[in-house]
Amino acid sequence: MKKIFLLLFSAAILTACEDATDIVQPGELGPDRAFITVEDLETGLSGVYVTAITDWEIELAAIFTDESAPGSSNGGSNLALHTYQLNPNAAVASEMWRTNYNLILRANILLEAAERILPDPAVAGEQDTYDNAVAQALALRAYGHSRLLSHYGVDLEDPASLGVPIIDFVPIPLFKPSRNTVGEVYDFIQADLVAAELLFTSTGATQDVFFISNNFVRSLRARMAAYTGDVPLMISAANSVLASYTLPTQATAASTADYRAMWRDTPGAGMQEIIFKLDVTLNNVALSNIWNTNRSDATGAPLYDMGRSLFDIYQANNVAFGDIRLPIFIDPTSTIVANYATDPNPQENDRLIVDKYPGDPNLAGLAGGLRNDIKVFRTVEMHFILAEAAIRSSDFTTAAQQIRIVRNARYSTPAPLPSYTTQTQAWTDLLLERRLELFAEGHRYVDIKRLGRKANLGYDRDETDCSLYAAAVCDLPSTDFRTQYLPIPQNEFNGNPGIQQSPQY
Amino acid sequence: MKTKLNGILTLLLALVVQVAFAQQTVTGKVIDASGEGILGATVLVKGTQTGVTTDFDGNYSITASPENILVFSSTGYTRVEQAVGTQRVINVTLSTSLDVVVVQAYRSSTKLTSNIASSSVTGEETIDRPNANILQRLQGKVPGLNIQTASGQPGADSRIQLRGVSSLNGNTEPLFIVDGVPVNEDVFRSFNPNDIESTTVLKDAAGTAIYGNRGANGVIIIKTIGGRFDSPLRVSYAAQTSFSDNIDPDYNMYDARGILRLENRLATGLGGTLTNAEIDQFAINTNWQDAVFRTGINQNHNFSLSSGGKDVSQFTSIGYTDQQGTLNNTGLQRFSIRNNINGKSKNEKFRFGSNVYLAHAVNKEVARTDAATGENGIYFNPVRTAYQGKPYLDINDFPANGYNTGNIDALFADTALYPFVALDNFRNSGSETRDVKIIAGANAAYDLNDEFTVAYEAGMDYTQFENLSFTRPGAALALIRSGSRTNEFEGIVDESYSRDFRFNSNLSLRWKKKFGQGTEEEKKHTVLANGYLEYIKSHFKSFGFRQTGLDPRTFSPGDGDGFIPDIDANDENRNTVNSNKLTTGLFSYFGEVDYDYDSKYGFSGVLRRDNSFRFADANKWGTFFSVAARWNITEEAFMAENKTFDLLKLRVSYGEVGNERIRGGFYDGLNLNRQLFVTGQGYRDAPTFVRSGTIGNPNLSWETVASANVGIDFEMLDRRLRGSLDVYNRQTSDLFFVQNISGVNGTYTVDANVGDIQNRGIELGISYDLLRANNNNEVGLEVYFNGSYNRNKVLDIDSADGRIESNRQFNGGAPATVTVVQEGRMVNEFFAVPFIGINPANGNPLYLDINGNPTENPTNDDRVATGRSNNPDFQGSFGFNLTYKNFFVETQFNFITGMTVMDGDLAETLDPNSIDLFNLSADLERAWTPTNRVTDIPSLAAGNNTETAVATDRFLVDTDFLRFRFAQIGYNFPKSMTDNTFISSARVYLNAENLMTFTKFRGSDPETTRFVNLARYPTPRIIGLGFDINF
Repeated sequence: MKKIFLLLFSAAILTACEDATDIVQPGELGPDRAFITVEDLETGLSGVYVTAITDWEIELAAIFTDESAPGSSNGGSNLALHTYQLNPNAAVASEMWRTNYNLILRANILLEAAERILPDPAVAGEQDTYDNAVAQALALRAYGHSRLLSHYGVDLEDPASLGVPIIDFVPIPLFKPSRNTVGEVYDFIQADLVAAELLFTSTGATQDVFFISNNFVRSLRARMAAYTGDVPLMISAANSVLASYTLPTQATAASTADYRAMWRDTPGAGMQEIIFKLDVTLNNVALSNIWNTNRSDATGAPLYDMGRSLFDIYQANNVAFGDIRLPIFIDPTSTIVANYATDPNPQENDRLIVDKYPGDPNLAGLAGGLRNDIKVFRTVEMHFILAEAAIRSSDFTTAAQQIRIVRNARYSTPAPLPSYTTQTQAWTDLLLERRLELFAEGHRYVDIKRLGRKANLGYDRDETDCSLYAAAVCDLPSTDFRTQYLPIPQNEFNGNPGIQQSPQY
Repeated sequence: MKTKLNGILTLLLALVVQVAFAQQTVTGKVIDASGEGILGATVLVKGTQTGVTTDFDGNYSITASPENILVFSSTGYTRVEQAVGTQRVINVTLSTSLDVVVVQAYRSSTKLTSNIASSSVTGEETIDRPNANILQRLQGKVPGLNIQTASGQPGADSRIQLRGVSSLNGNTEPLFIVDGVPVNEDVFRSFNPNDIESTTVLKDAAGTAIYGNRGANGVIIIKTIGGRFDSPLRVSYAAQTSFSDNIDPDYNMYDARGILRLENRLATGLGGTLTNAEIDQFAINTNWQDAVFRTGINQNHNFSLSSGGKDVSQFTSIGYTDQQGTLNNTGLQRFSIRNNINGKSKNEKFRFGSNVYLAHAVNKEVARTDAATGENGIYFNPVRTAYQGKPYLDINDFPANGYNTGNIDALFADTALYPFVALDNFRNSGSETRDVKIIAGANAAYDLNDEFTVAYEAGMDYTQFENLSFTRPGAALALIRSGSRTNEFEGIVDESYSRDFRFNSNLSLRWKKKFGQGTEEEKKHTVLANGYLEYIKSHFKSFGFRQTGLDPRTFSPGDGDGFIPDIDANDENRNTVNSNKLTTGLFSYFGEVDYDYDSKYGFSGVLRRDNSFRFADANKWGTFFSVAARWNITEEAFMAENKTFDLLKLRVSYGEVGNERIRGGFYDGLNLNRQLFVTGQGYRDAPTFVRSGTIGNPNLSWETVASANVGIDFEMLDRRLRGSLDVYNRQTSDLFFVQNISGVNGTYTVDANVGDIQNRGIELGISYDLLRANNNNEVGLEVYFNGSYNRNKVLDIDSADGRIESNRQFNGGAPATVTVVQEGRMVNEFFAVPFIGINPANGNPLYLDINGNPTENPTNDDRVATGRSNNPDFQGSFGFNLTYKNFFVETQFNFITGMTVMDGDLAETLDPNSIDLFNLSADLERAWTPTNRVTDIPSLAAGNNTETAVATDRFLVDTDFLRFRFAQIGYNFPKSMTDNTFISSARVYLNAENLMTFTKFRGSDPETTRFVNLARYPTPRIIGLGFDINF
């Protein structure tokens, strides 16, 4: 009897023991079961794309450069960045770094998984599905590196200067990378893109504005060539993209409506202006929140307005040439004071509501009104790249023609052909048109970084805008290191103390 | 005259009774050595069931025959027997028993034979306080136990730390055991404090090692009241009403005209549009604090029955509490029932007991003010409205019928109108949690023979939460959320249910034997050895939903009639669901041995093996132990002649205890040892799966706390002076902490075992009977002091520069705040650039750079560890207890030093960038101007507003405080008044909590435990009035 009791007792203990100590939570998915099939690669690719949707580049350009000025409801929001307090602790430096490496990490996880998966030749189309997934992951990895290089790279035209770490594998957590040179990163990006282009060409992937195909790859190749000064590649890549896209030759009522619809993400001929955009849903970032609290009109509690100096240029162009960008980029509820410089309360009274992201009418509610797709590559940029290539070769006529193509698309009356006699003049005009056309698209920081010194231009804020906040410096010249590259974030140093900081930070 | 007549009648009656039954009424008083009456002592006629208990004053009255013997007993005192004879009045003094029970982990011992460092608080010390949470009542009562409550929410959870912070990311709160059942340490709001008989805090490894992985931060054992065998029915009723008020902060805010003048000078806001003459005539001056806070009215009722027969005893209580918070829309309602039963067999070989507690609580809160990381969004946090709403806004502008599609845009067009949104929120939104709490335990023990006992104990702690929060359709926030403005149906309701079931089972075999010469009493060696087997399992289940789109006609919070379905054409209306299921478990075996020689020397040891599922197989098992020794010096022959010391005991212990809760929470960090992939929402909302952003770390292992303790317990001068003194050294190794990693991992941190920290301290608890009352007409005065000093230090951190930074900024509202864990420094020291004043030349703030030179443009490289943190060093309480005639007075002062907070409210009220939005501090009148160059406030246009980018110490404020924590004055009704009524005793009292606070901190509540304190719900001042009656 006693023995039976003992036996039962020990049996109970043993079962109880495992029950309490070998616990796996429901719903756990380990790496061994994560990627098995080619279908898994397709499903996983969606998780790579989604990490590309960030607004840090756009926010940096909007707040740090001369695109915006504090709005009537600004109670200190983002003022540190706006007053040029860019240091290794700045959120923009830390998060732009982390989010882009997160994009690269996810691309690498997918690429490493793809190495273990063999597409079945017997299943129709599986090889193409596989190749398309790999090509997109390669392009996204290149895109992540390109955003990092253009913001953190010390001098894009000096291949030996400090770039960013190249990550082409899934690192172990304690991996401590060091910075590759600009040249190494550039070559790596181009190599990934060449590989992707080959795959896309073999699968015959068709163009889709929301998904990466050869037009994205070539646009990125052209952009990176322009950033580093590779003239032949700029011309060949930009031209191959432009084969499929045309701009309006003059702004008409119809083209104005198309242009407006393009920013609202509604269909129409305006789609000719977009090569690739990242689709933003209610679950993704709200671009308009950079400028507005609730909505992009006067009642939406604006945090930042359009910078007055920029507005003045649109205004002048609108008067002289019927530039259609003014009424599209500024909300109609804006109130514009005539004598801004002498207004007693400019922040309250002069309200230049940024409306470039007016909200996608297909998305619901307040949240929908703050969200639009992120336009990554637009047709105009390819024309700018061709102009840039021409300026570099001192072919001023071609440069002027390319810039005029963009102006004609926006002017209601034909734009005169600019004439340049020096490179500085040409760079100045290119920088001006890029400033006007690419406003609020995350280009301005990199443009001043690359072209500011060529044109002897830095940030150009309105003096009255500068009086709206407490800071000694109004315009930052392009000789200031802060306009040239972002600091390696403090967070990176904490885990990777050996990495080299960029000069002066 | 009437009283006299009554007395005569009583006497007559007594005589008659005596004549008739040869019985007499014996009255008297039972007092302790200090002369104070003992409440609840049992007076029993020996050999019968007749018995009574004493009242608050120790008075009793019993009917007995001359040949009877009366037995006087009370827990913790030596029992006394007295023959009745012809006496009519028998006063008895009971002396404190050295056999008083000392509660230990799975057993109890006596004061002489206990080897552990522990402190006990009796239920009497915590009863009848106006605070709804037992933990808050314990504040300052136990040396070394830090209890700080950072929220004014009634019943709010507190930060509880014993002997300093022993972990950084892991759990730092003690283990709570209620009647043998381990319970959730965060939900004491649903626990009735009036049920408590005693609370014991086990502090050193000798006391806690037996709890293994759960005892690393100390153990708090709560024992609820049980009935006593052989005692008559006792019925008690206690009622209390109290009033709570918000304590106003002291930021010297502008009045309406003041802020208008400032705006006028800076040509902004309303003031910018008015002339000086108009401002001087400005009539509106709204106090937004009055619109947000109120006087809370609280009620508390407790009814209890206790009784005991020869073999069974019981205690039953019913409690009801209703507390209104000082913040509108907040409060706590609680209803509870307890039933404790104890029984034994005739031969007393078998003993059993059960404790069942059931409670239902409704907790109403304003969600965003309360959580440690709560939000500061001005549209959501009403405390910001209270402190910083513009006083020139007219509260009557709030539309009587709220907002609608017609007037909503105007509300949001000017951000400074946010106080009206706060008013609208009070009307149109709400948040409440309904708790169901069951704590049930059962235990049984059987003596196999004189030496062996087998015991079993099982229990459960069940907590069910029902959360509901809603924004009504038509609320300002709902209207603005609907982009179209025409949607009257926008409105959100969140509901969730969760069930948390925790089961424990403990089987033990216990052996105890005496060795030596002579009779059993004379044997001098006592040996005890116990073996235990413990099984613990917990299950958590939750589910919930969020519905967006509510029909105002049929919507009622908590009901689904108003839900509008999601249709293709309109994505504004939709619902999302969530569900979660988690399991934890623990299996352990452990044993203890204890040896005593003649009550002089004692040794004990504990060994425990734990298996945790949180670690990879190689790291699963943890072995923990403790050894302890004691020497009762007063038991030595050479001390026999010493009259100074009644008790002098020296204790020494050392042990190692583990911690498995990697991220602190009970259900947190359950699978951090492996890399997981998770379901995610992908591009274009397509379903996808991605590698979890939480990096798996297979090397995770136990965090270990090694502690050494030396202590002295003493009682001297005829027990007038009593106390204990302990010094300790606690060292945590393999800390649970984040390890910084490169951002190429997609995240900057991973959970790891990183480094060592140390806590060293000293604790003193002492009380002294200054005056002893030998009778009712003398004054009894006891003074006491509880204090502790703790110093923590980071010994080792696995980081290249020996430092790990944490950004404590939240919501971008407050200036940058960074704390560091740095080798050689305190845990979480603020890391900041020193602010040295204002540059008289230009009004810019000046800071010290890393080389000690003044700079206006500090960088991150100029930051230094400030030597300041939010960890207390000195803390404790003192006060006196006084009795005179039937009056009694209790006081308690609490103090804490060494704490620092980033005063976000101060920073915000001094921020000239906010002038358009907020009311500001009139301290800005001292701002630098060319004619006022020597000042402490920068120029309003100061060039570098660096506190928002680089952490500086400009707004770091010490929150050292001395607080008149508790005061009570009461009156015990004399026996003469309660005689001949159905009442056996009664008392009334008036008490108060947080009556006065002395501190440099200008905010409302220096007790805050946060790094950044901005617009939080402060703890109130409570004044209460109540009475207790026994039948």
